[in-house]
Amino acid sequence: MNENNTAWITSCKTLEFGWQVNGNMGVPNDPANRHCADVLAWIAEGNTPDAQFTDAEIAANTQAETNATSQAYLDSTDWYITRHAETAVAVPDDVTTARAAARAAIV
Amino acid sequence: MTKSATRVAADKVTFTQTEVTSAITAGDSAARAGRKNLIINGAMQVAQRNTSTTQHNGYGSDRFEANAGNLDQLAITLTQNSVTDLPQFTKSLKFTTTTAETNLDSNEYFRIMQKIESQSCQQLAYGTSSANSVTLSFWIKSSVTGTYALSLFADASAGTRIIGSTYTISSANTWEKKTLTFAGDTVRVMDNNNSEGLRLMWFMGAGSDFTSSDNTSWSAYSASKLAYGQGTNAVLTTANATWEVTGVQLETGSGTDFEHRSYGEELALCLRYFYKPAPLDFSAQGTHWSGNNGYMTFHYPVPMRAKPSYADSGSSTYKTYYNGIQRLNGGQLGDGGGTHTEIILLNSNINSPSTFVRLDGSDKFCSFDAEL
Repeated sequence: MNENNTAWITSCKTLEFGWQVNGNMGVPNDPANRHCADVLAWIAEGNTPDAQFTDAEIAANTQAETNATSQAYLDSTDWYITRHAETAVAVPDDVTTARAAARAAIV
Repeated sequence: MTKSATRVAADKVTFTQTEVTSAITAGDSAARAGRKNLIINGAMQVAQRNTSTTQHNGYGSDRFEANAGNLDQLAITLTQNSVTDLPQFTKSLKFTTTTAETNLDSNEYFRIMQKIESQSCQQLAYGTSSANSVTLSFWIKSSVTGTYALSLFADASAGTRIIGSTYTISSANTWEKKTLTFAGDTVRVMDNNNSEGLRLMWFMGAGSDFTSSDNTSWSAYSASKLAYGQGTNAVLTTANATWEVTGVQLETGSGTDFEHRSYGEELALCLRYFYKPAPLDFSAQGTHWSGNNGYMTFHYPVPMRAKPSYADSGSSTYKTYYNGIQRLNGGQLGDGGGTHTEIILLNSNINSPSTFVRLDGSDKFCSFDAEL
């Protein structure tokens, strides 16, 4: 009973050991895996998986993650700056140092 | 000294096959010797994915897969339900129609399935003159009375086969035990590996494309035989209709009482097909690879049926402790087999030469899927 279902596949990217499907599922290149069977059927229908992540893509994604993490740290420590402006309480040195590093990391 | 007849029997060390069979049968009113139930999670105790889903192709309990075809309006919930009105059972798989299908077209159906590995079915001796019959028993409760189709599909590389039967729900919202026996298939030899061997299918409704051909004896598979005898589709076309099952057992020969296994046994059996660890149950060894990327290797609690598919919760799925807490993104499938996997942690700022990784909170998950 050939019941391979390809309708659920909306995107497919080649990985070293299989495919990344719909952005969040890693599917191994193993015909015994039911999702692999679906991907192979999807390819047989004439679809072509996107190419593997390039080094440039990986670097861009890494920088995006760094930006997000750094921005989150700055947001979480902004209150030190507000407190200093309003009450003259000093910002701890380690926070000042870490905020400088976070700003420098954002590209 | 002359021994009594009883003493002579007690001293006997060689028995005929007839004597052995007779002795086993005498003590077999409640349970057949050895492990007998081919069904995993028949008492619906294990539900790793969710205890409730609205997906047409989801799981309410492990190993019991819902599957829908071409339905338009139907909305459902499939839940691992708590049972209080059926002695010996505390859980069931419950289907509820939340939005009814207006009309069931010829190409529409809904079914619940369990697939069994072919290497776990070899005792059935299919494809030989000694092919064994099997008996399916289960408890069923539905708000809709009537006749329902159930079929048994045999997968084999040499050709697929099917047989079916029907059962009748006589009283609404009342637990009823059904017992169906299927002859052994003497024609097709089953494969003997980790692929699908048998598939049980309960139909809640089926259009005429799936009910037009007789399936009351083993024959070559055709979709038109899937739900032969389906007498009602009202579960799908009635809002708030329910269909509930538990105590599922498939065994060789005639039916016997349900084989209750411990929760730990059932969970271990389910883990061969799907694993979704609770957040505090997961930790793995990770290491820096290059740039901000890393590797994480993880061994499954039991060997999985095949290389599993991998999914996670994306950004900040994991965390590690190296110079403080580092948040790590979800991973990408690396190499691995049925016993372990390697997850590639791209873009995760992992900078430790060697560290351990765990899930970053109760809302994060990773899962490994090797279902049939």
